[in-house]
Amino acid sequence: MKLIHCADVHLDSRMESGLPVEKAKERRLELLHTFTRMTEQAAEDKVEAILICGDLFDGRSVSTRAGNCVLDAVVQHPQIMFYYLRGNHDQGNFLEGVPALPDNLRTFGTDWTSYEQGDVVITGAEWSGENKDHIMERLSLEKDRTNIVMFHGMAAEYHGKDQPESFSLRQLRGKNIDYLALGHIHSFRLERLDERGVWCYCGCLEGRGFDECGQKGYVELDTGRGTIVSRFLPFARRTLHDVPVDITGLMTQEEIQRRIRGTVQGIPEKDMVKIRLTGRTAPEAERDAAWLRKWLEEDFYFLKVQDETTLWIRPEEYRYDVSLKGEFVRLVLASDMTDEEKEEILCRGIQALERKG
Amino acid sequence: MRILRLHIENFGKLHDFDMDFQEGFHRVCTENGWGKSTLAAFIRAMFYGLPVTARRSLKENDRKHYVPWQGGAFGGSMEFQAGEKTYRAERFFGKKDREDTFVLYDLETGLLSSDYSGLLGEELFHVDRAAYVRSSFFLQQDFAVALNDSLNARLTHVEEDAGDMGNYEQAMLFLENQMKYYRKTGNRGQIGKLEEQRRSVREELLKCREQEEEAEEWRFRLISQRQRIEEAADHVEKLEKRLRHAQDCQQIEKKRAQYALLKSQAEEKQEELQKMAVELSEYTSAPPKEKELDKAREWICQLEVFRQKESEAKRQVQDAVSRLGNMEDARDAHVSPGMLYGIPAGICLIPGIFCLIRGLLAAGLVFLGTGILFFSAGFMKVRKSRMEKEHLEKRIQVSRQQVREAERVLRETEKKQENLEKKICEFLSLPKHTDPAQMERSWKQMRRKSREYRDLKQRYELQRKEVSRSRELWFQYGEGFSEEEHRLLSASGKEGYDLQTWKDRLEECRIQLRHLQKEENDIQYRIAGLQERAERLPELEERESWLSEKTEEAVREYALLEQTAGYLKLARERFSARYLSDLQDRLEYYMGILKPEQESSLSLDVALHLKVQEAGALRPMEYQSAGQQDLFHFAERLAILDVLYKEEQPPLILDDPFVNLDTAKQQRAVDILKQLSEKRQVIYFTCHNVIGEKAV
Repeated sequence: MKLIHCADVHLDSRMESGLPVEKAKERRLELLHTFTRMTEQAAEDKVEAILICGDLFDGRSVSTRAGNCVLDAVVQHPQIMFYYLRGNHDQGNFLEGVPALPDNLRTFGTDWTSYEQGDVVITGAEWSGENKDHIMERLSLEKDRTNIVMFHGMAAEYHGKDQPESFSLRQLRGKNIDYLALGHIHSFRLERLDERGVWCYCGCLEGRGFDECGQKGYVELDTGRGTIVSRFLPFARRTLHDVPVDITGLMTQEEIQRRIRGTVQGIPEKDMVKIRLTGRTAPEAERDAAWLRKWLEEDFYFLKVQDETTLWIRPEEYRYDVSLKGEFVRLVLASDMTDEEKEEILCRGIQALERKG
Repeated sequence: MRILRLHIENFGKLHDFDMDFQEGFHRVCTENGWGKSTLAAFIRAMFYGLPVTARRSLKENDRKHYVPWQGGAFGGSMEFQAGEKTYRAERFFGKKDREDTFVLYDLETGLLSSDYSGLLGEELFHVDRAAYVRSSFFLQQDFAVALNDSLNARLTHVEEDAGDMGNYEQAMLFLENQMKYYRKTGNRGQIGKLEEQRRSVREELLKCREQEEEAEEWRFRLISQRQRIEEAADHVEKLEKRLRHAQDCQQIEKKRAQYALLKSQAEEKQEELQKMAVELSEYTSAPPKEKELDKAREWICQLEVFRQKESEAKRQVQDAVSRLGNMEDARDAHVSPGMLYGIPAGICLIPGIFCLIRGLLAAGLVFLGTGILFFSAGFMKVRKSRMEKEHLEKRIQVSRQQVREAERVLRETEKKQENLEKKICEFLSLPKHTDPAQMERSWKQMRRKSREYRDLKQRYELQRKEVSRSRELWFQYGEGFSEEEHRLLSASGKEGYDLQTWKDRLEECRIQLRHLQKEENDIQYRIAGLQERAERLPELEERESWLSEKTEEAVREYALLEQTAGYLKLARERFSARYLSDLQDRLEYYMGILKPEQESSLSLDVALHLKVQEAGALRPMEYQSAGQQDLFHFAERLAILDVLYKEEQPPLILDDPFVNLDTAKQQRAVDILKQLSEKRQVIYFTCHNVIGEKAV
């Protein structure tokens, strides 16, 4: 039997990547489309159940379109059983106005609920302020069954009081869990829980900001003869890349362009790229992030250029410099500003003084 | 440096004009409108060309201002001495700067010289046009000195080494332009735009959030509305139940009445049936059936037929017997005709035989023939008679048989009649040989009875069925009651139900429920509307975040540019402060000559702003009279000239600058000029002979 473990779709969420308004809107639609595409793929692959481990939606307001789309995906695939466990972001209930839940949609409450799915028992509970201290202790699973547990939260060795969304993995060891399907962390992670089972974050379906770079998708589970075999399947429409480019020693835009070109080679055009200019640059060096972005933006769906370089300036060179620049550098360096501010001001001042024409 | 000669081809109003300049102090004293300022502008243009500007004002656009009035080549030449060499610079101007030409000749060789380029002024004096004008050009009522890069650079004498003092103004302009991009007066500029956009987006976001909050509030209201609906629905349900109960009770009452009716009907019918049964019991035996009666009736008819047949048979027997008797009589009466013919035949034959024996032939023959004729006739008659007799016999036989047959038929008929009569009598319970009329009457009576019986029987049966049906209905009706109905039946009558009141109350509650449901729909519609608007939240948040980020970036950039400009300015001030003491010394020197009685001291800042120390405070020049201001600025100019030009001294051009000075001060100013003309050329344009003459 095949199952899909997905989570953190964050439908209707805002885009954190600094996308222009239209593209952000387009990305939101792509999130929705990727979810429906996943259900279609599941139907094609004869998947029997889809486990949604929280944060299907992003907040209190669930748009009519997103709500209907998800409900339609469920209704259109009656052969697939959908297990929907709400996460900390699922504050609104998109099923509120639905007169009758589809037969193939199973939900969970704040206490452990178990469902039989073929030869597997799927158990899940939604985290709440009330149950967080005792919910793990209350989990009880039959030893002779294949047990999948769904949960949404931050896995930690110990449950930290200062981390309200964390839960202790220790409390889940020896509980006859074969596969702990988790949601909350937006990158794929598979670790051993105990001798019997594993815990797994499937990550999000699509990256939304440059803090969610890399491949995103879902985990396909194959159960049979008491074992669960999992594999991560990249499924995102677009991948986000964070590309550091060291431009130390480069003086002109053309040199920087060539260095960037060489670094971003191989990244598909449809992807979203953030280029971080790193290294140390001379104050006279040309490095106009806006210009570079303009120059490269046609190459990718979205491009962001961030200048993280540090200024390469030696105060001793200006100590005895009888010039306006020397006076300026000495003044700035002697000020009580932060090093970053000093660098910024020195850059601007020196470049203004050395402008030609 | 000294100007030797000028030739103006065409420049403003001046045309084909030549002027030689003497060394030292050179006075040009002409009347107003002669073209002194044009000549001064020509000298300036010879050194620096004409600036490129898009300004339309003649005052600000020299190229436009000095376009030859009469047309022709725009420009001229200037012979000058620089260092040990003499040159002639020829400059002609087009409508645009790229049409300008510049040629330099070495006057000693007469050949073209490349010692200086078109940037003659800059190369000779190491200051730009503006600095040259601000330092060496003394225009009427325009003494104020403004510091620019070139002037500053020259004052600090570092341009050859560092060069960047000359870029200060450009750098500042660049920074200011950048700052202006971010922030302009009236909160314009990129920051203003971004802030405006952010404010607008924030307002929208706020509205959206309010709408989301409102949607949330409405959701709570929806929940409470649903509770109210649920309560109202419960109430309606209860009322419906009560109404149903009341209706049930009413129905039960009806049923009870119906039940009683059915019961009474069944009982009535039962009584009627019993009556019929009594009536029926009056019949000891069941009267014959109609069929039997019909049979009996048939029998009676048959009996009548038999009687007729019997009569007929009897008549036939009598007829047959009669006929037989007749026939027998006829037979008995039958006489053979032989004798009748035999005797004559014998009478004839005997005489004939006699005659023949006697030979009386003829007679014999006659007799004989007659005898034979008689005989033959007799024979024939006998035969015929015999045949008739036989026939009669046969007929008698037949008739006898007919009689017997008729008698048999009669007997049979009589027997049948008897049997039939017996059957009829038995059927009609009549004695034998009853009169057929009696039989008929009896039969009719019997039939009437039979019909009555049958009718009764039929009615009885119907009644019985009716009773059965009635009872069945009654029982079924009773059995059809539910337990509740039974309970109600047993309980009914204990309480009264005002059905209409319940109906009214129910209708009222239903209206209320519908109203609540309508309100619920309205709330849902409102939530949907608010939700739809709130769905823009992510987009607006993104926009707001983007705008905030961009605004912060812009504000930061602006602050950095401002700080940069501030530091750059401070650096320039510090750097410039190095030449201030020289300037201050020279200023005091010249002020001592121009106004020895001056008690107050002058102060000069790095921006070359003059201030007067008076009554313990530094006061700007605006506090001074126009004449005083001209005097102070003149002194400042002279101080700057001393500090600015250490090597090549540009000619000093003065365009009637002392009009605001009193005579004594004018004299002092001219004295100073004379003193200066020992070191540099001084060209003094004026329309006042007195001063000019004195100066000369």
